Amino acid sequence: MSEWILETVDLCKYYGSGENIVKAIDHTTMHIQRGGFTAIVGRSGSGKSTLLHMLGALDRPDSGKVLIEGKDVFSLKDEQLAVFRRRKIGFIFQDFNLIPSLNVWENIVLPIGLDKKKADRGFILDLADKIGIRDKLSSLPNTLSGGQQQRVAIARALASRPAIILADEPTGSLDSSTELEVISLMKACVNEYGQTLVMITHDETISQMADRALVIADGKVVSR
Amino acid sequence: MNTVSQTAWANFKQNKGKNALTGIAVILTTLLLFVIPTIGFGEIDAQKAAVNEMYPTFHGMYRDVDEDTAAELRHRAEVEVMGLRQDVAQIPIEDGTVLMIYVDETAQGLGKIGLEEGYLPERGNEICVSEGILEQLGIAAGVGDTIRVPFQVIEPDGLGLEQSEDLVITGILPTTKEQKETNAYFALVSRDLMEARQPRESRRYRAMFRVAGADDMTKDAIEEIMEDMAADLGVPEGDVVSNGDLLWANYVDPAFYTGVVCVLLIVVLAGIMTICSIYYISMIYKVQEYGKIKALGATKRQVRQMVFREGMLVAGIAIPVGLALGTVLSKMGLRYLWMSFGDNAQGKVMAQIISQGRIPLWKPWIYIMAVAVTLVTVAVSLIRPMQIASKITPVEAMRYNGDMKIRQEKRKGHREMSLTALTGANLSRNKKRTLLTVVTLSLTGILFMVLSTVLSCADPREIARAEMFDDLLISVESRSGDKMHPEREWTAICKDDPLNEDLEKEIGSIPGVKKITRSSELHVYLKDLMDGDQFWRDSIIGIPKEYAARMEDSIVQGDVTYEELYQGDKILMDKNMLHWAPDWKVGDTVDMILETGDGQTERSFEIAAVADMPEGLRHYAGFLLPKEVVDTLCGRPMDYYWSVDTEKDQTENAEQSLRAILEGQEFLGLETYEERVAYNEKNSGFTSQICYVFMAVLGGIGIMNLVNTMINSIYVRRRELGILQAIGLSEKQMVRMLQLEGMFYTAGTLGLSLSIGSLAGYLVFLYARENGILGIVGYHYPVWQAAFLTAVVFVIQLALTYLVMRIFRRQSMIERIRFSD
Repeated sequence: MSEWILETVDLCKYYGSGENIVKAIDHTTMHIQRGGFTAIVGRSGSGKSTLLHMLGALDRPDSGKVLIEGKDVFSLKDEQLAVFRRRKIGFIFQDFNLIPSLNVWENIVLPIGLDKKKADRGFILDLADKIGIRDKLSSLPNTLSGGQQQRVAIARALASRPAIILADEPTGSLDSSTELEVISLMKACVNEYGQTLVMITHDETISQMADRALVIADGKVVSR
Repeated sequence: MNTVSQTAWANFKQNKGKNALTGIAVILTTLLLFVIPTIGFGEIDAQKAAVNEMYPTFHGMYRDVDEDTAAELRHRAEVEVMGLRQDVAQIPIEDGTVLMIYVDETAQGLGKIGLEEGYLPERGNEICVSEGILEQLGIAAGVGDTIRVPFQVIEPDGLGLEQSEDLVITGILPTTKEQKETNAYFALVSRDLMEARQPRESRRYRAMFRVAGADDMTKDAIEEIMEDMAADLGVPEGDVVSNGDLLWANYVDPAFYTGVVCVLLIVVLAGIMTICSIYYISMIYKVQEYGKIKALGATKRQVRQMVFREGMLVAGIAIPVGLALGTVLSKMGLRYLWMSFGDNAQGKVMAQIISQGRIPLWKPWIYIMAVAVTLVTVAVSLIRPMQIASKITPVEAMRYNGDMKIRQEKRKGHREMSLTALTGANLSRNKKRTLLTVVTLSLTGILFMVLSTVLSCADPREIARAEMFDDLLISVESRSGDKMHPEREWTAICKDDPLNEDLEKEIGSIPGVKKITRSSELHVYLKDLMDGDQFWRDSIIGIPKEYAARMEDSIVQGDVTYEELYQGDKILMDKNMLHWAPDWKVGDTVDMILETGDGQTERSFEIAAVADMPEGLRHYAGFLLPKEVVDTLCGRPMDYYWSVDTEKDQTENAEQSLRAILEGQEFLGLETYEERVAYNEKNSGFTSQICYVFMAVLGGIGIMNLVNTMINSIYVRRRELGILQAIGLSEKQMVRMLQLEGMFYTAGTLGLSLSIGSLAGYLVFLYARENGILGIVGYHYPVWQAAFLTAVVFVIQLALTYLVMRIFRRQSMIERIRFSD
């Protein structure tokens, strides 16, 4: 098994053309180790979200490769990619992005259901306990606070036990005390379940909580 | 342009998709609002023009009017104009009649008497004749020639002795096809000649007149005036003639207008629901934008105005398009209707009038009405979106996702998630909106099913079979109340009934004739029911024993057998009599005056039962007895209808032989089952084509609604769908999910349309049968139409899912996730 769970090889993604060309990701090669918490830090417009989207196989690069557990994800067809994504990657977004018509439990087990698998009830309940939303399982998302909604999003990302959790500014919509709580929770969970957490942030404080931080500037990654 | 209008204009340009849908719905609404009354009134106008061209233009005529009465009539306030005709003499010809008549100038105009050449006679020795008359007289002559004309003066007690006179031809009258066929012509003479031959006291004019102020009256009102005036002047009722064709065409039944208004209301309602639904659903994603505008300082009124002006901009473009389409389609439609269905003389004239553009088909008031009603429809549809947009606070707007305020906090949910569970959750998120969509979509379907049921029940063959039990029907052609032809009264004909044993033998010997079933008819007056100041005229059908079972099956109230009616004191009454005598019931006694042919006799019958009889059994008679009873009452066979059954493959030959036999029979007519079917087919073909075209346009409006619902459901949730994809929903699964949603709408729409539509259709069928609408007798489920509806809804649904996916794929997943507005 490769030492790296996630690698990029000479990854490029440009927008526009000619004078207006924006090099969102420019010949970036990087490696992320299995396990632990890696933060990708950068300013607004540095290309960090674009990088995350490609790491998560949500967007295709113009050139270069993304390897997850040694597999070139963009060699997969769309349909295979969707399956690969739901098995290997859990996403956490800044705006929580819960499905408003589903209750908390349903939101959490949805990725498992989409994979046509049965949810491990004990595991999910345990997760809900740990995250502190056990008493909210039948509530609808619009009745929850921002922090609670993000906890549900974390549970959803962890529920199918993916190898990698990709988080895009997961605390961007939260106040500072909730922010720390949520980050600690995510760290604890990935440690417990042996997953790899990759988080995009512009916040230096958060990056200091990471086991490892990568800095991205003008579309290029510089290991630190 | 101020800021509000500028914003509305910018929105209008930006929301192309929504506005195109609304625009199409507005175009279709305008189209229907314009085309329906244009065709309706165009049809009436064309009919009016054709009748006015073909028939004399007087409203009524009094026969046998003397000089004084004529003078009095001329001065009556009710009379607009009056013209006189006096029959002077008859020119003797073989097997025909040529009348020499005098008509005054007004009567010439009212009777549309024109000349092919020359002028009308002015002096005592002048005459106008037609080529037909000259031919009959064996004379070749033209205008200016003097001819010797033989004639018999018409005297009060008949025709005088033949004499002849030299008369100068001043003009040539046209010879019509009808004149040639009937061998009946007329020649015109001058007033001088008339006065010389008809002394004042023996003159009996026909006074033709138009009723003053008739433009705003109904046919019935005009006829009532004519009857009242006749009573005042002492003109007997039998001498009052109404120009039925003219009155019928010119003075429209108010029920027609009610019908047109009802259809238009349905259109307006469908229009309002569709446009309203399109705006309401599209408002969901516009609301956030209105919130921002409000945050920037727009007042509620300004936001309302933005929504209103954007809507009106769409209407401003769509309405002229609808009117332009309507203008073209209405002319094409009317021409098509009369080319396909107007094969009688009047229909041909109407088709000609329409294609030559002789009547103003497009009426300014219809344009104004269509514009006004469509604008009101759009304005009403905009009320709700305007409210939503103006009431919402900027903060609420940012979060608005179209859900009506959800009070629900918890949801029971599913233990395991699946695509079906996900779809179900989405549909149940806003149950009210989902239901509203299904109901609006179903309304067109329900209407379609109701109309289809009625049309499928109007089965031409079945209706014809109820009217004619066998392939051929011979009937006596008698005419009641024609004082000019008393010999055509049934009471006169029955004394030497042409449907006699000799004829029966002759017909029976025709190859292919299997059986003749004979029914009798007896004319009666009902003493307990009045028609004006006279007893109600009706008839009793006398049926043979072969029809006993049909008779007994048709009984709806009371109970009686054919045998029980033999006693002659009980009678079976048809249900239709209850329209005229609603109080009559089983057990009551009806007093009748029977017209037996040997004078009148009085007789009372007890109503033994009430029956809903097929026309083939009762032949429009109000009462029924066994044939033997009728014949016994009259003291002679009263055969009136012979139903002739033939071998299947020999019907045509039998018909031809029968026609040959009946050739010389003046009082007998023959009708075939196939003729009746053809007539019914033509009638129902006309109705169904109009109905289905109407439904197609209405369906178009409904489809706009469906398209909008589907596209918006994707558009509104594009971010949510992006998220679902990010967490593992594959494209196949997404298509499947959208298909499931579509299936729900399809199933809901079909379920409601087919269930409520079929039920409502059945109720309408019951009503139609009860009231004799379209001659409907039996219920036939509209299988093909239901299958068609199902297929159309399915195909549209599939096409829409495909379309929606194409639109969806235009955005990348990232774009969908990233942009929430």
